[in-house]
Amino acid sequence: MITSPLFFVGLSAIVLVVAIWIVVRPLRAESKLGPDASAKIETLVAKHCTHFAQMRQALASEDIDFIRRRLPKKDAARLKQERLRALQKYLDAIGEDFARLDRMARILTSLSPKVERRDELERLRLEIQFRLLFRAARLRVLLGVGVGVPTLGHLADVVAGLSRQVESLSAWQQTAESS
Amino acid sequence: MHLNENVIRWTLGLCLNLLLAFVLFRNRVYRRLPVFGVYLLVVIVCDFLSSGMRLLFPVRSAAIFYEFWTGQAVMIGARAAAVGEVCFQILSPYRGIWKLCRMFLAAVALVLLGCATYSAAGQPHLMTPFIMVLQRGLELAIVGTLAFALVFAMYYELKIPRFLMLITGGLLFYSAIQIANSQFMSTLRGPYHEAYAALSLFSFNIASLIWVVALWKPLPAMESAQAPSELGVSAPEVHARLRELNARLSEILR
Repeated sequence: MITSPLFFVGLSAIVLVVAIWIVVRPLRAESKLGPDASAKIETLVAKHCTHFAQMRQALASEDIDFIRRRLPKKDAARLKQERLRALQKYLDAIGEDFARLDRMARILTSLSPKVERRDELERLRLEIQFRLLFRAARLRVLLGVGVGVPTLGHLADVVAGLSRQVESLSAWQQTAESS
Repeated sequence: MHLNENVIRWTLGLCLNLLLAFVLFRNRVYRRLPVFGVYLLVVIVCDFLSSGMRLLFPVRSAAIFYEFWTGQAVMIGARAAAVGEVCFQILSPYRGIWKLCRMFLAAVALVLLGCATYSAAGQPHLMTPFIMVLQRGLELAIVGTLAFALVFAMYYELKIPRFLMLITGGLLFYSAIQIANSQFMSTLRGPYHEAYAALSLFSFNIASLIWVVALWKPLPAMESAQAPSELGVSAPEVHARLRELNARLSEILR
């Protein structure tokens, strides 16, 4: 009788730990970046997410359908693998962009004399959202399922949101430096 | 044999206190960390008073009981104030972060204190369990506040001076051991009393050693956060690049 509630408590605890692990654990790109005192702030600007248009084109479903119809199965499978590899690389690059911008946001926030609680909560939300989306996308790529354009768009949107936040933070720094 | 062990422990503790007092005055710790300096002085005075009381009264007398617990209350109060100062020292060079975090840290401390008072009030009308539960709660408030301050510092990658890290480590270590110690004491009571006293003393001696290491060298002056120009590039350049990037992203994602 008592095993069933215990089982569910145990299961819930495991699910909770996994969920916290997924949200809290930094991405590989974030850990790689690490706190480095010698890092220059100009190296932290996003570089790769602007290639979204090319990726959107490469993932267009019309193209995939066309190739599937025209190419032999073996070549189509090879092409699919190539696309997955490219997708994985692009995902890693977006992760790097996010890690850089996030680091820059933290540095600028730590230097700012006035930090808005709302902005910090928004950044925390973006961080959690990005980690969840990113991990889900990576898992799909690893399983060979691939990621659709909307998911990539979502990821790029989050990076863009963070970039806009960093821009407003740097605007303050600009006035501080000039005054 | 048993008495000798206790005497060694007490003597060691008192020697450490003297060393701590020496470091405290030699490096004028009270100038940089006034509250922490007062806390250390309170601890040293309480320890010497306590040793004197044990020479005058029998160990199991009411006078020793009240002296011990009054001393504990004063020391916990002083330690709580010292924790507040340590949090201030860690976060205040970053003005924005300090303004953002101080209310949060105060709220954490208040909530944990409220929980401690509530748990202690629910105890049966016996002095020892009441004090133990209250003490455990207060230690938990100290650990919680310090831990959150460190989480903020790690999240924003703030630079924490070595001596502050060591002081924080000592405070965390002592409070963490005290939490476990109080928990065991309120559960096991009488038979655990000797182990409780020994573990309290031992953990405090370890913490004292950590603090001696922390304060051994003269303390550096408080630094303010790095200016933007010291980060390697001018802010207008970074801002211009970000603006350009954001314009491109808005166009792409439209």
